[in-house]
Amino acid sequence: MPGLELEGVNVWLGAQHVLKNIDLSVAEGECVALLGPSGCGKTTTLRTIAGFIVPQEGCVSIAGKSTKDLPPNKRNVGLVFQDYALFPHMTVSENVGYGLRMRKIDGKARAQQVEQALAMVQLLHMKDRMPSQLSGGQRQRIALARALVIQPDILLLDEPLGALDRKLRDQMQVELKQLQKKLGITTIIVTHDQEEALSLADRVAVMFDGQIAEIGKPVNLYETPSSLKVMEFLGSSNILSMVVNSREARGAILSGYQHYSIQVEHCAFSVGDRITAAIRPEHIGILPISELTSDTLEASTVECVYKGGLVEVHCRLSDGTPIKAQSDANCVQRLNLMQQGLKIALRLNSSRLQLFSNSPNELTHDRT
Amino acid sequence: MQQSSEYQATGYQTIVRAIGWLTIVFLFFPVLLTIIVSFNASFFIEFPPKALSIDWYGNIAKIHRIGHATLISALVALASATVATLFGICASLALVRTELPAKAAITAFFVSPITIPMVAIGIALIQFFILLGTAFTWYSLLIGHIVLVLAYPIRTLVASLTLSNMSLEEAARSLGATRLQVFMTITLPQMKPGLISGFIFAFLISFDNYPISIFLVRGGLTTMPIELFNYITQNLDPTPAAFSSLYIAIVSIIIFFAEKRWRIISYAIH
Amino acid sequence: MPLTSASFSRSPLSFWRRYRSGILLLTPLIVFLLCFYVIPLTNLLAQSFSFSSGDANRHDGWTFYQYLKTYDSARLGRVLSRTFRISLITVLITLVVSYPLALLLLRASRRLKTAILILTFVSLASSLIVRNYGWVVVLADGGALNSLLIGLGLIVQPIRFMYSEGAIIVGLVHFAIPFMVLPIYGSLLRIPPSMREAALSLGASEWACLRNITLPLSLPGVFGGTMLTFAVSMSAYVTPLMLGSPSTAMISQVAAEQLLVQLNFPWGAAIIVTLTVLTFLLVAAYASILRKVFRATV
Repeated sequence: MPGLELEGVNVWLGAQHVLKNIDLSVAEGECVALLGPSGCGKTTTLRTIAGFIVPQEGCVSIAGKSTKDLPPNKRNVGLVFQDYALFPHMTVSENVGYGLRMRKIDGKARAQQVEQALAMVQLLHMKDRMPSQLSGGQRQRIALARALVIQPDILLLDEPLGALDRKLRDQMQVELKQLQKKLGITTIIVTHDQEEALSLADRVAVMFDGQIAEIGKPVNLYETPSSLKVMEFLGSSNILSMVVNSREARGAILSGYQHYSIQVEHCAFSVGDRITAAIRPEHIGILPISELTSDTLEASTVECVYKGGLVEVHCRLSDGTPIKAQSDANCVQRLNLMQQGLKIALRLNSSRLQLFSNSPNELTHDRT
Repeated sequence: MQQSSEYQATGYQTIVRAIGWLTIVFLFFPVLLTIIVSFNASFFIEFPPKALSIDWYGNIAKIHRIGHATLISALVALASATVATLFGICASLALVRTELPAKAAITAFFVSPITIPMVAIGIALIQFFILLGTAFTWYSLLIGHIVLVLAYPIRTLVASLTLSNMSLEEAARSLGATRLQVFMTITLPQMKPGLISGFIFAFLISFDNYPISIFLVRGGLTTMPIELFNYITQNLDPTPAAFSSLYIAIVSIIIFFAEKRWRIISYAIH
Repeated sequence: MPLTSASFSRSPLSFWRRYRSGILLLTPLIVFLLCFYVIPLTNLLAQSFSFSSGDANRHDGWTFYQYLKTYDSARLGRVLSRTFRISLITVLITLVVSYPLALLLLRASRRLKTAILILTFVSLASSLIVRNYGWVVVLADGGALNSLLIGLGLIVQPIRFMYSEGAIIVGLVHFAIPFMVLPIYGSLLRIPPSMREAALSLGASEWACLRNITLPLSLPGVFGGTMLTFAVSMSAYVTPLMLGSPSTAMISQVAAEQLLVQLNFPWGAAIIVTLTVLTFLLVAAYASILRKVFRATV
């Protein structure tokens, strides 16, 4: 039984077509992140699942049951809001127990379940405090406890870690993931933070403009996305215009920059096709110019940006194409990359070069 | 975010909405009926009207000294609203932009006339003016109205100024503007919503006032509400309905226009 | 020792320097209010402690005589309790009627919202005399309400609605609705929509949501609205004058009568001071009771 199913969901808000034919199938216990830029429809999708928006077309099923005509208070969903929405005039226990109270679970049973939920987020000692006395991280955990104590069919998180500072966020990411796995509850997370999506979710759905551009495992989405748009959205990428020179027994040879050519193993294009190739900074090796060969690109340095563990090496190809490569402090020093205008050779890892056609194509490719 | 709530309304929701709408009808009801009655040909207040006529509109002039009274009301309202707004500008600047001890107490003091029964203010003032020997003059009436409406521009201007952005003024100063220039070109425009809504409320409340005016006038000095009230208590015909309809029409146009142009209503809510 | 503002304002010169601009700006206003607000009211207060020419055993110097007369007067006692009763009923009805309107306003589309608000403001701004006259039109013997009831066949003879406490209450409620709706609406606006949604997602019905979440969080607006309505009803003058009769007189009318007709200034002053102080005390007591109740509603 799927934990959540969206079929052909279309939502218009006013005259705007906000969700276009959304199809999503989430297994029970799975955690899926909806990732995308502002306005892509991810929050609208979440609110549609919760029941605050009714789709004009399509249907939503939670835990196998259709939600047609079911208002939000009749769906068994656990919702954690971006602003936590803790009731300011109730204590922490009263907040957490509210859902149980609405389900007519009172007295000892309620107190017990509330304590269990609070213990789960390690805030049992705060049970008689008021929300105004809690820090941001604590409020977030209470909001989580409140949503989980009712044992919902599905957990919906709207930018759960957005308001927290860096350190707390990293910590909460780990805690959240462990909790989700332990409880085995179907979870949907809405976020604009890529790192959050990639680290928390079993599968990530990248949304643009009201549609799911691609959905798949984080590693697949990051390393082998099916569209250039998704590749450019996640992390950094370097874009190269290339041409298919010839086809080999396995793969093809591409060229496009002076004497440079590279052999790739998988190529779905024909000879003479103009294509766009993209590669991530971490898959580019930097060599001194003396080691320039036919399978390395000539470039000159522009700037090095120190990022702590890594150094971003910004350089430029002879035709002006900007390239961002990555290196460590040692290599930078050894090759004297800090010097502006220094000529260097770049080796691209051919197995990590992603190839895309030049025509804009929408691909919704499930890479499970 | 917009929501399309298309669920079946629960019983509770239906009741609440029904009461809400009934209240709106209740608010509008007397106004509507007054307008209808003003077109009634019959002499007595009668509903539904058996015949229509606009004669009563012509009869408005017969309300004793109504033209004179309305003029006085209008002038007094204009003057008191202006003075109150000027005072309001000073007060709001002082309360929001400068340092002062016990600001909450001072603000409460300025706003307190609203909480005192109008009859008390009227009585106190007439006694005081009698002591001074200036009773029943137009300027004593004006003073009474200023005291009455003072609180409104102060409230709206303080709200307006609190919401305005002080960094704009600082930026202007750093660009070389003098205090006066900053005030005229930056601060005042930002206070516009508060200025306009405060002025309009002060005007309307002064124009409409009865309990304070009744104590402060005598003889040639009179106001519109007083003459209207006198006519109502002494006559049974629907002439006041005609006058009321005209009055409501004019007030509606003013408010509608002010909202469209200056959005005063959204302002007064905060 | 840290430099605090307290250590600065000890000396009068530094006090002046610090608050100079504020004080200068406020001086004209304060002078005006002192002359024409504080002093006249103080004078009124002083008057209430003296005798009028018609009083027995009069002497110079101050006395509580007028206040004793106020408390002794049976008629005044009746008027006071009537005023209190009418105000209480008015506040209750206005609250019950205004809260749904505020909720309606909250959920309405922008156009509807503006339309309702404009209507409320027109109601607020049109002359009280005009508005009460509207009720005369409705409640008169030949007026709309009677015509409707006769037309429906419910009654044969017109019912005398006018010149009664009921008519006054209707007029006062009509007057007070804008005073109640606006603060409540303002308060409702400040509640983040996610509160209601959180409650709904936890399984609360709309009614439970109102009781547990919306109502408690909108209490500041309810407080403000009810206090304002109460104060305004207690001191009502024009409405009971137009819609009531001498047997339904409220306090402001009695005070005015003493002053305008009887020319008994000291007693009139005492009555109005009593009204003001009483209203103030009642409102303060109300505020503290509500604060305690608020703690308990969860």
